[in-house]
Amino acid sequence: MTAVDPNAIDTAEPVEGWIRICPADAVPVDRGVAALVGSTMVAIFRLSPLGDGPEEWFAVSHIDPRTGAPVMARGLIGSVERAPEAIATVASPLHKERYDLRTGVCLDGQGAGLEVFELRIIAQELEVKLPSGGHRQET
Amino acid sequence: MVGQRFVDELLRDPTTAASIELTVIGAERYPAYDRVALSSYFDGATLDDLTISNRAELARLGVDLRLGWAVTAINRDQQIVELADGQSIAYDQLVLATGSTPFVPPIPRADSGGCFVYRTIDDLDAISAWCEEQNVEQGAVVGGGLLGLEAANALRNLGLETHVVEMADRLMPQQLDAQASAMLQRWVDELEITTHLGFATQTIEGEPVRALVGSDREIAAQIVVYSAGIRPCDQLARDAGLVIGERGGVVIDDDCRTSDPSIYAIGEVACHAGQIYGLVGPGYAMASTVAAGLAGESVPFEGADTSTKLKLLGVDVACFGTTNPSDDRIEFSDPTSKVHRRVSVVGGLVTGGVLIGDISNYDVLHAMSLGVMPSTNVGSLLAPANEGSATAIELPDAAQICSCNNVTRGDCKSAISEGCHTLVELKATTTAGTGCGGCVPDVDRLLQSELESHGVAVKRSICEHFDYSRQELFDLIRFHDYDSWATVLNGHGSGRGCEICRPTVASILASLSNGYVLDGDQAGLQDTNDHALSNMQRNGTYSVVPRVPGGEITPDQLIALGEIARDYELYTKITGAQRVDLFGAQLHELPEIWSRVIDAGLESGHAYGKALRTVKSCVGDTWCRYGVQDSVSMAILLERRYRGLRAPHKLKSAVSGCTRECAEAQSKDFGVIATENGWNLYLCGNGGRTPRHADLFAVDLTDDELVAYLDRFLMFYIRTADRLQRTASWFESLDGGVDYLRSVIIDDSLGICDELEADMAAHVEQYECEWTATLSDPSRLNHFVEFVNAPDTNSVPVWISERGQRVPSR
Repeated sequence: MTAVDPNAIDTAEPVEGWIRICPADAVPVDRGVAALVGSTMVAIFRLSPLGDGPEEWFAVSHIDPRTGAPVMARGLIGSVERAPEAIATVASPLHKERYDLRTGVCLDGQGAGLEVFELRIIAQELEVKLPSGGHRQET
Repeated sequence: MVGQRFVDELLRDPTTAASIELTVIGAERYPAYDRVALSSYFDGATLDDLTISNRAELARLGVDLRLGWAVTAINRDQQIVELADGQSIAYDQLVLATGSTPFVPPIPRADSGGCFVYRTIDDLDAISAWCEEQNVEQGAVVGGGLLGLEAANALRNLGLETHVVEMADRLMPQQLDAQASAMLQRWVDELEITTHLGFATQTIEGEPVRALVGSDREIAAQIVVYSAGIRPCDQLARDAGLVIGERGGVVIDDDCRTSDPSIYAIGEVACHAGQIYGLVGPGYAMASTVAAGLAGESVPFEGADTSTKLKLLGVDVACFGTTNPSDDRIEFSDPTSKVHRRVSVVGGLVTGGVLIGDISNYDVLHAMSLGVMPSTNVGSLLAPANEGSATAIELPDAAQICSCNNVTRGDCKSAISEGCHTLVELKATTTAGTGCGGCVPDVDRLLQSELESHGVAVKRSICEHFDYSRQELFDLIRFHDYDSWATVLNGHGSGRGCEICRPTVASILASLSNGYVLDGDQAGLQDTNDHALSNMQRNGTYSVVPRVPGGEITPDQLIALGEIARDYELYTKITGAQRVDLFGAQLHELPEIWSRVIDAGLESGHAYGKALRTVKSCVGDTWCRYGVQDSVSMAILLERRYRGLRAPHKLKSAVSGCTRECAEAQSKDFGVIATENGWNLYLCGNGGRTPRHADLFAVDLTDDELVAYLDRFLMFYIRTADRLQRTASWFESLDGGVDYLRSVIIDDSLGICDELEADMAAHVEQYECEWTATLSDPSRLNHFVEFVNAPDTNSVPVWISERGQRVPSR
């Protein structure tokens, strides 16, 4: 198990509302980045457009549900064709279980899913919102 | 195995599983394992590979599993079984599945040191331990039947000079007549197993054993293995007063009930209608009968077909139906190809037969002997197949495809039409191919042909995003000269790709020398390890493996590695490939650590890529008294040439300086062994889970010839192999084996050798250390930061200390 060292993080108080993360341009396409929101580790993905569609953005928990390791942002992204649409996915970099990026549901087996967070881009800045009442990182 | 099958069958129905309180008692320490495949234990299989019982599942279903507990008595009056430690367990219904014990012939001093039986994993462990401790060179097997030949194969796999003694005048006297046995004998002779027929063992000489003594000769042997038949393990039943058959075995009726209605017997311990079945198929049928009986259904056991098809010492052997010496027979015998095929015909119908060396059309002939298809054209079925003219015979649905589990072709076909479209699903649904596994190729063929006839496209495509195999994808990328993911996906794929096709395309682009692997959109393709150019461990930290070509390293470099490890508290371990692995680095530490590695004169070892790892070497003639060539220099030359070469899977290599083979080159993807005149090249070996000795490809090569052949071989493999297919399994899939490979690589039969060499030349030309390249461009360091919005903050893994080093907590 891995935990964020509380002494190393000075924003450990409860976080509410939209939190500015970084300029949207700082996030690479089709490869995740991790962000620290309070003490919550969030994996952020920016997916290139599918066909004529728009770019798509997702924010989920950075913690791999099977092992507890903070690695989900380092997983490979992809899509699964489930009519009528293609589901955007991320695969755990450890054992390759795939998760639906919109819902966080695990697509391989019955395992726990990923927590999903709200995300928006305001004035070229990427922002993430944790569930109301703050959020406690599970360790 | 039969007991385990009974448990599986009984618990398959959830209602039964919930209403029955089941205790399973086994005298062996291990959960049930596959005895049919026992000899594979000496050929690389592990106990895990052989285990057929799922302990976790049994526990979930509430089964009380007691392993390593021997039952000492059955008390029928009180309905309890007594255990060796004095405990007793009550039963309403008792199932005896105690199997059999090997028969040890009554000869003087039969139990001398070095004498073993061949039945359990413990027997096998004891045999191999003895051979090692005593430096055994010669071994003898008593018994030339089916089990005896299996045991001989096991000794042969241990590298012994192997003898088989048989009292009768031929091998496998129970199943084979003189002619068929003579043909089998030719195969056995070729394997350099010495057989002694008509040999009555008089005594064992020596303590521990030195020789096996017969009436007219002595056979030197430091180990003796008895495999002269089996006896039902029926002592418990005898003591309990159950009715026992004339030649042993607990007598059962068609419901598999013994003379006590609360006690059943199944498998090799049971005697049904005067017969004891030593095969797994009939045992499984009995297991089904009892499981059905306990669930209130009646599925009587009315005897079983003892037909069998097997690979014995690598020889195909099949026996089916019944044959008598007085039967009319049709036979084909060819000593040049060591093939003997015979069927018995009574009243115009096939009743049974024997096939040695070539078992084609077994299914058809077997179906005829069972009367499920007419006996027509028997003569042409018996003749060996002429290439190209083989007409496919449509077998009837009633024909059996899996003899272990008695599954018919019809069972498989209906499962396929109900939606089983993969081999895994089909095996799970029908149980076909889950016994000895011998019929799996047939089941797969049936599946493919059924799918084709249903109009289901049989796809060899790598995933849902590309309708191409890896080889086709490689050819497309090479032909179009693609250099990015976008061009490949837009040209030939769909969707966003996935964790399968993205790394596959990444590897192909890299094999075709398309520059730094994390530039442009290739970054989004690289698998876990390639993306960090280091190996991710289970807690999300990384390990760092610098290249140590040929295993040669200077003291200063060793000291530098030690200092790096000490400064970053990295757990340090020597790998199997003569390198040093430093564990526990965090993502943000990787650039600094690698920078120090490079400053010490080392470079990336590509342990993170499906790429060349080490070319291991022994010290060679520079130091060694026996060496005949400079193996270290050759290993370094080859490692420097092929370093960084990305391939469908990792590549391992070694160079040995003499025939003593200290570098273990024959277990590598490409291995080189020095001779007085040059180098012998071995290809497509493997260690790991499925070891394979490499094939000798060419002998006494010059340095230049060796490099040219290797250039072509590696590029040919990279072009044609499937995704994640090592050279060993790629080789097994090549039609024509090593001769074909020689024709492509030496004789240039495909006319591609120039292209292959040019592709390799491009790789050698463009190689750069990926970490040197990373550190030379600050923009390439951006993703070695843990949190995009907090570059100076990092997560803190939980460490514990073990033997003085830092490791992840469990």
